[in-house]
Amino acid sequence: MNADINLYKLKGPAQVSFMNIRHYIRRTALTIMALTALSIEAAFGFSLPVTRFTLDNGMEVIVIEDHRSPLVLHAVTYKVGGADEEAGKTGLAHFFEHLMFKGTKKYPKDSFDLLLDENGAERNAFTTLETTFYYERSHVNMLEQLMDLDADRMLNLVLTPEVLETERKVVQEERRLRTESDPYGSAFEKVNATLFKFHPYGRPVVGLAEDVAKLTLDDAISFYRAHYMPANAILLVVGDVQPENVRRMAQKYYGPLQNPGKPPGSKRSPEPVRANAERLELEDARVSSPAISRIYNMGLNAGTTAREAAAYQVLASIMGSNSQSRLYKQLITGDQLATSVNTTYRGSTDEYGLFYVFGAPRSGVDVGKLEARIDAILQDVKDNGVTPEELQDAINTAAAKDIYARDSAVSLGVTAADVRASGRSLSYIDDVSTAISKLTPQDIQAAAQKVFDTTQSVTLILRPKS
Amino acid sequence: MPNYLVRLTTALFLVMFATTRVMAFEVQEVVSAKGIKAWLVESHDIPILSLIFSMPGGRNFEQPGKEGAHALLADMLDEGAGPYSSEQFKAIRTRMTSRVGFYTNGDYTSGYLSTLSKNRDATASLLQQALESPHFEEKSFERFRDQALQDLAQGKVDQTTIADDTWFATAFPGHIYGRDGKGTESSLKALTTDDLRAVWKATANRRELRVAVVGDITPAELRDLLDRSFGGLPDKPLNIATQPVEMAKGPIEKRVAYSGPQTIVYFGNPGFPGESNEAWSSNILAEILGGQASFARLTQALREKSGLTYSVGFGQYSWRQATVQLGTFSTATATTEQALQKLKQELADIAKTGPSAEELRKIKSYMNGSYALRFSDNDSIASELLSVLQRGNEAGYFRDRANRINAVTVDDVRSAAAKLLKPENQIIVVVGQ
Repeated sequence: MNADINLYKLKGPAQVSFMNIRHYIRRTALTIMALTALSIEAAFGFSLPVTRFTLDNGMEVIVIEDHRSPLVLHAVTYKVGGADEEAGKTGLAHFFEHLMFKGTKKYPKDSFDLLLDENGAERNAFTTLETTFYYERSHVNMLEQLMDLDADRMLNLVLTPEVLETERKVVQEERRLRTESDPYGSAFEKVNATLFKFHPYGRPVVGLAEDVAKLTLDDAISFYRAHYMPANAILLVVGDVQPENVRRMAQKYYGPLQNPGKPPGSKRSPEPVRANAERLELEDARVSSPAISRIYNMGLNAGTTAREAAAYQVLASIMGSNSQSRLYKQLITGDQLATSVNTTYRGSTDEYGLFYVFGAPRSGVDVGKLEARIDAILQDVKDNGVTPEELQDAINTAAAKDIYARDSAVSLGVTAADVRASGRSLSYIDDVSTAISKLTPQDIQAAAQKVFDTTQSVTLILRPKS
Repeated sequence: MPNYLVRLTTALFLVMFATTRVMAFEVQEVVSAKGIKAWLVESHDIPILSLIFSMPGGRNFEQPGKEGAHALLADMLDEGAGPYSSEQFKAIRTRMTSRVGFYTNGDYTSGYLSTLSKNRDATASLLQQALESPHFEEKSFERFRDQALQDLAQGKVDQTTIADDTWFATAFPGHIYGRDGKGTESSLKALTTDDLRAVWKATANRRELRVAVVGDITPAELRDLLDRSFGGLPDKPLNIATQPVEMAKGPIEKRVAYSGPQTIVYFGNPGFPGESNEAWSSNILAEILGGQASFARLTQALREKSGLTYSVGFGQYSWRQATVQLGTFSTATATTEQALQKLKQELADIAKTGPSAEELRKIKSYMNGSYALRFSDNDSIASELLSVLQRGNEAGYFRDRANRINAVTVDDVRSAAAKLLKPENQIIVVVGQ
């Protein structure tokens, strides 16, 4: 056990809001979340007690106290995701996530399930480009049992060919549901492949159909042995707990686990700087009206400072986050050209930063006309920046979200785990929050100039089939 | 989330979690000077407040030829009100970082307010203005009408929406429950802002207003807020139908052609309404068949043992005039018949023999254990309170719920299964190739 306990005042996540977004855009945004598993960008400040420590085997533990209800979230994040797969093995991280529920010698599937069901515990998991996250929510008195279950399956999973084949069908159904049956699911698979032609971010987390069909039991077992170990995992406990009790339990259940080797890391081809903007103009009989989606690749995140991340978030807020934002006021209530618009900055915990702009035109409005107006509005911010009033409103909104976020300790925990999995310090969350309050209009203009570089973008126009 | 869940559950903005250990807080019933009642969970840990409310409305007040009006009404209540234009209303709301909005679902026209404590009075004032003197500005109306028409068109090419619409139209032909309330192209095009005013005049009523409040407010402060926000609403007799509506007689299996890689199946039958032992028995039956527990029979048959679907769910939903049990799953085109056969076998099996004693024990433990998870944050708590209120319960419900569940016997569930799941009650809609 590492003796240094770091106490931070941790801040809540930005709530990506799609409240005002009608079907296309909402679907688009949710599709992106599903396909590339959007990590919540850490932002905005509020205080909840956070304790972090590391076990002797390298497993990191984050504890966030929320004593309002006798509940707990127990989660293990593995620092492996879709971007760590080899070419030809896409979907392996996600497929394996499904297999983690298939039981061990000590807790065969039926007894694992029964223990959770009889206590009314909720459990699930999700795989992103960078992480695989397993969680249970239950009454806090189940915490020790949850640790026993998750520590056991970290190293002792039992897999058989029969289990693999049945689960392959489930995963194939999931892919059909999220991708092939969903016009925006299919379209964004193409968009991502266009954005990232070399880097693995261009591959779908759910996997390409032809790869998922070929994954073998050996693939699954090799993947498990390579990536599932305490030194590659973060334990997150959020709820009505005392850090010292969590530490004692974590030592008891996770402490004895041995690392079979070192986490291998992954070899990722870098994505070259794009020479020109690209466009995808697609048609689909399953959409009834057109929409535009523009995604800017902002480049590698490694050098992104807290101040820059803060500016990108505030830029997204000022441009398209609510009814007072520029795109909304000019295109929806002003020119009456659009039914919905949205801008989203995808956080700095991934390897590359992405910025999304969406717009759905009013009936009878040409989507090309809407795109031209969006371009003009983005160009105006690059040329002339934002007003001090707009910035102050965005800062106030961020400060309020800090307070609201205290009601959502689970989201906060997920953010904390994401931040640590990305290799950043937990204090980064505080740094971004502090930076937001100190931003100047010049910071936002500089952010706009950096983000809205059309050559680094891919534009999707999805239209009804003619 | 399947469309029917969107229709049937309460506010979309709320996060629903599923768990028991009952709550570590107290539900207070607060009654204002004007007689407006609310349930309050007082919590001063965070300086925020969540309030949600509903009144009978929605499609209950829909007139022939005016279909879709009540959905637009909810969109339009905050588009300018009292002294504020639509622009001013939104600007004030955004500056305060408050939320005030409205939605319609099934039997209800509903709304919500969330605010930082420091902006509570001003936010409540916005709510009051929206309820008492909405403008229904023409420019906003045209925009929302266009959106509604676009949504309608999208629904006609969306596989899930087609399945959803077809199931309800088949189960409740000619009744408001057979339509989802989004209107038709001709009704939407013919609507005017005067139609919305008429619908609001019919709907605005505090006779059966239900209010749930969680957060940083004392009972005395809440009494004042209730009177200011809702006191201007009329209190008049409710003039909406309440007599039970029968689902269409089955067995019906309707197939709708749709080009795509998967088939979507909707399947359902009547349920037992209310809070009686019979109603809880049918609730438990639905949980055993297709609830969230991993041993749910349909999950085992269609996912765990066969890999035929990614997800299958089945649940019970109630409105003023009907209670249904409804489920859905998707499967590859090639496995459609196999999956349907398994579905029918599972329904027939439990209708014939009921649950085992062990199954009933496990599901009771699950339902009692999982209930507490619905009380994890302010919005979730408010949502659950409103749901319990809408079903006509007293605050003692939270103590009594486990007793109601535990009182159900194997024979009760067997009896419910035999009555509800017989073939002549079944309506199945299959949308695919």
